[in-house]
Amino acid sequence: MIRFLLIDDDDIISVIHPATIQRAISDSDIEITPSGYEAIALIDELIELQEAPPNYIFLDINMPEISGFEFLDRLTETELDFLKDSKIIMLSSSVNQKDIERAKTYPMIRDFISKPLTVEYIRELVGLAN
Amino acid sequence: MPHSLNPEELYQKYLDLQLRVTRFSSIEQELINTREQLDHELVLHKRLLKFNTEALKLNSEKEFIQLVAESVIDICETQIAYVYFLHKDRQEEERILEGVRKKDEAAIVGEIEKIIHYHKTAHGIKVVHQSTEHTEKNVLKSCMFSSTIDIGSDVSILLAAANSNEKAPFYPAINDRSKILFSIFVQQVEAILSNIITAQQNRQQMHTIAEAQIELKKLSLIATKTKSGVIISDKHGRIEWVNNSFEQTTGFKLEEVIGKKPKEFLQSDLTSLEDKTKMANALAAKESVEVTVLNKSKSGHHYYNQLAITPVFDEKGEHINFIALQKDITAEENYKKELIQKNTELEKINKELDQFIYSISHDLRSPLLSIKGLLSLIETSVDENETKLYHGLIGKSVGRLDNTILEILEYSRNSRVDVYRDEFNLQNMIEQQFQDLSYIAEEGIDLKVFSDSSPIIFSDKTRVETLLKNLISNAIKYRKKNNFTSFVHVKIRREGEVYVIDIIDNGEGISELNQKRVFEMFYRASSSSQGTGLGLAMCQEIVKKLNGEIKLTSQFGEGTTITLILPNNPLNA
Repeated sequence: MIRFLLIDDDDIISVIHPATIQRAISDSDIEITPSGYEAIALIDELIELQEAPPNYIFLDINMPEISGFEFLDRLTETELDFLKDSKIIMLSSSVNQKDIERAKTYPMIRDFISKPLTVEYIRELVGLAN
Repeated sequence: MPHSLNPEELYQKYLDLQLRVTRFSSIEQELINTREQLDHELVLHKRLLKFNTEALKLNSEKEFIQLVAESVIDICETQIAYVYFLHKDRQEEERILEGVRKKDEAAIVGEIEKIIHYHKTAHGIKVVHQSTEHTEKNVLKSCMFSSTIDIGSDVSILLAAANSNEKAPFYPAINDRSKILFSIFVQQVEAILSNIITAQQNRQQMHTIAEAQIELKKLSLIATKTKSGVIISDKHGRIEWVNNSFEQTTGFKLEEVIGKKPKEFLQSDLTSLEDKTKMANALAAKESVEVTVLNKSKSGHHYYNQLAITPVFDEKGEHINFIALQKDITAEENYKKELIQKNTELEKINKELDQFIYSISHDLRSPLLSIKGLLSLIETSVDENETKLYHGLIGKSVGRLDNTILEILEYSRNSRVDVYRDEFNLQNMIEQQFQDLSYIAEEGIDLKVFSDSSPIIFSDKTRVETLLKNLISNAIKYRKKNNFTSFVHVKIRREGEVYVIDIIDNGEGISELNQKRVFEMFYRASSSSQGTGLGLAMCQEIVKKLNGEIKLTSQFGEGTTITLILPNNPLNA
């Protein structure tokens, strides 16, 4: 069972991405939150309930209220420790050089890609390609 | 025969007679000599007179001393003439020798100067005869020379006349008579040279005065007519004179300011301390200074005064005046400020444009990328219901894309198209919009418009329509979900020259933090929003164009009221 957390405000993307992940991996657990704040609340809940952290987090940059980067900035020590083995992949619909540079300053960011997620990408990511 | 003379008597008489004849002829000879001498002297005096006449016509002392040298020979009848001339002021020394062969000149000048040096005289004329014993050594037989005659404090002259041993037989010996003639001549030379020098000095002075007058005329013309204000003050800074331009710029007349210091009546409370100090320090140190200060004219109007103050010193280095040039550069300063402001605006616009392009490309790409993702899901889908859902989402994405493009067009239209005012009914417009927006208000939201009278407004119809559509659709979109008592009420009232429109809802409300930012371009406050973040920013721009106002009050979780104030203005003002 591979656990995914999707943080994206776009309601259509929030349909496409889980569907794509399900196509790529049969045995997956997918959580979806539409904002950084709600994602933090969800993470705290997982800690509270002593559940396992997500293996992969797909984080949208451009969101109302707080951006993907601001979400990362707001994580507490406890939350960061909980997520220490999670792989964070930044997603954006327009890949901007400034965002790429900024992403490089966060060691926990594993990758930076353009939407939408594809089956091939997810399989490669989790090491199931071919 | 009255008497008969004896031979003895007769002989005696003859002897007497003979003696008389002898005496007579000697007297006759003397008379002839005297006459010749007189004739000769007459000739000499005529020559002297001629010299006087010619000399008086001359202007330069150089021509004069040449004439002097030539005339010495004519008048004193000597072989050699020597003139020494010294102009101390100009450091000019001149020696002129006449009556000598070129090859002998150096020797003769040397000997004359040796004689003068050895026998020097302080007054009058000295005659020197050299002993014949040393004939081989001496070239000159005799020489007479004057003392050094000073004409004024600058010029000295010394004359000498001489005969050489070689030519002495051909010239009259230098004697008392020639000494007298030489003496008269020297006096003449002194008188005439002093005339020439004085005349020259006078001419020089006249010239200097004339030049100074021309210069003064030019300078005062410049000072009077220049467009810059000119102040001449004494060494304490008290005004002695100002020009027309100063009077025009400051509004103060010369009579009002004479004897005052400029700072006493020109400086304003707004003049910066730094400038005042800079000026005061330079003036105290008697140095030139250039500053731009804010001054105040008589009528109280402020202007930027570019000042250049220069201390003036007299020939002895004594500080006597200050001259200040001042120029009203308010226009330049304002222009500079305007440029800086424009530049800041441009920078802001540029930054906005960057942000705009970034956000727009994001908003345009998002639905396209969704479509891309949906298409690849459809390709591999085997479930018909699933395929149907994805088709529906493609349609929704296309709708969003279209909507974004429309909003961009509206936004750009508002910033580019001129305001065009027309007459229309606000209430009718809002009711029409309620109908148009009913597709997003499917759950039966309560939409009402209230007005005390028929609200006819003169304004830009297209812009007001865009404005109201954005605000009302926001109020509908952000209603509380699953609440069957949601409402959007619009209240219109006229207040004098303006219409006040309240758009009141009981929706989600906006948090205090977000209230400050919702009018920012591309700022999206709500995670339930799918907008571009352009709507309220555009509303703000429209209201600005229409010279109106937009205010927002909201309680998070309770609802929002937007208040619009729109001028009812039939003129395109």
